[in-house]
Amino acid sequence: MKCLKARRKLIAYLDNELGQQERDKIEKHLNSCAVCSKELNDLSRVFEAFCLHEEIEPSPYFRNIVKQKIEEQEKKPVSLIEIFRFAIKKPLPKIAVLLLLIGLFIVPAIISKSSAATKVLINVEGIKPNFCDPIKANLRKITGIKEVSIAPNSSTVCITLKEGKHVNLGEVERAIRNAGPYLCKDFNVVSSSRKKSKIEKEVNE
Amino acid sequence: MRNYDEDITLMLKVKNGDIPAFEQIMKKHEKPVINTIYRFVGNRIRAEEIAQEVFIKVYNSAKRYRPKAKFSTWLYKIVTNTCFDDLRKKKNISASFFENEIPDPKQSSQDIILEKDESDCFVREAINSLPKRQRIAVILREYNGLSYREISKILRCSTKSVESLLYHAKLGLKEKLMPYLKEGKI
Repeated sequence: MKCLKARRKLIAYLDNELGQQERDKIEKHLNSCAVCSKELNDLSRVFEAFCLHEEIEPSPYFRNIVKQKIEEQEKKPVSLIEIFRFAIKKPLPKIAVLLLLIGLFIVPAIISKSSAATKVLINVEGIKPNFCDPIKANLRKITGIKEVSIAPNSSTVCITLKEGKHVNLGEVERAIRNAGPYLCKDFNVVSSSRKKSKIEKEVNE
Repeated sequence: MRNYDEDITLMLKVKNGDIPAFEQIMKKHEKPVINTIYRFVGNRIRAEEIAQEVFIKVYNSAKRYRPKAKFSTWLYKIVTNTCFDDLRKKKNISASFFENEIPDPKQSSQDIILEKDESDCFVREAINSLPKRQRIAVILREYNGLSYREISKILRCSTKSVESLLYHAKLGLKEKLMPYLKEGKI
């Protein structure tokens, strides 16, 4: 055995972690190599010094603190962050937890957004069938609202307002009046839980 | 082997909600656990805090506990991971290492105690300078008397890797501590 190989094994030799065959080889080498023998001696001296390392005593309250923290933890409700942490740590329930969260929070949020639309139905006199583009253009320009629909052969203009959006009815009237010889007969503001498509369908009818 | 069986029996009791069994586990392992962590982080207060975290993890994991290996291997795996997590959280751990730990020579009246404290500091400083995996491997081997096989399970590597970790760690320690040994400070 060469010195380099023997030295790499000296720690395991000192730790008594070598098989008998390897131990014999090392011992044989150590008997014939003064440098490696000195290295072994130095290493064992260093690790004898480890025995000097002081030990500390746990505080007398240690166990009580742990028990108290466990009790507190059991009283505390599980937070969303902890569910996320758990999902990240455990790959199998990860998808299940993710789906659960989507089901619980994201889907209702999307549904509520889409269903929280408010519609403004305006009965307009003088609307010419298939010639409503100026009304739409004016409404979009003046009120800034893009969701405007007028069903063919209908005198009802429908403005759909998303959640949190408002419209000034005076501006709506001005926009319709400026688009041509039209007269707004009445306004109906309806908060609806139905989807936009349903509102439009109703207008179409 | 008897201890091994005792620990597993206790842990299975904890699994079924037996709080006194958990207290027994804590009573038995608190000192070695705190000392292992103390040697790793170098700060008594921090060591106790991390040890508290370790035992809370033991309690929380009890429901999923399966006696596949020795209890100590499982326990020290939790200790190691918690120490590594703490190190990630507090990268300035080495700065706090000497905060409260080096005894002030002026405060001590007994030379023998001084000498012991001083040599203790050299050893601790040398251990603290090692990379985290080498450091924990040395601590588990030298102070907890764990075998290379047990350390390999804790660090999730082969026994050859543990041999290599300890080889590099101990050569580094020798380099740091030999001058003090020659001067007779240790």
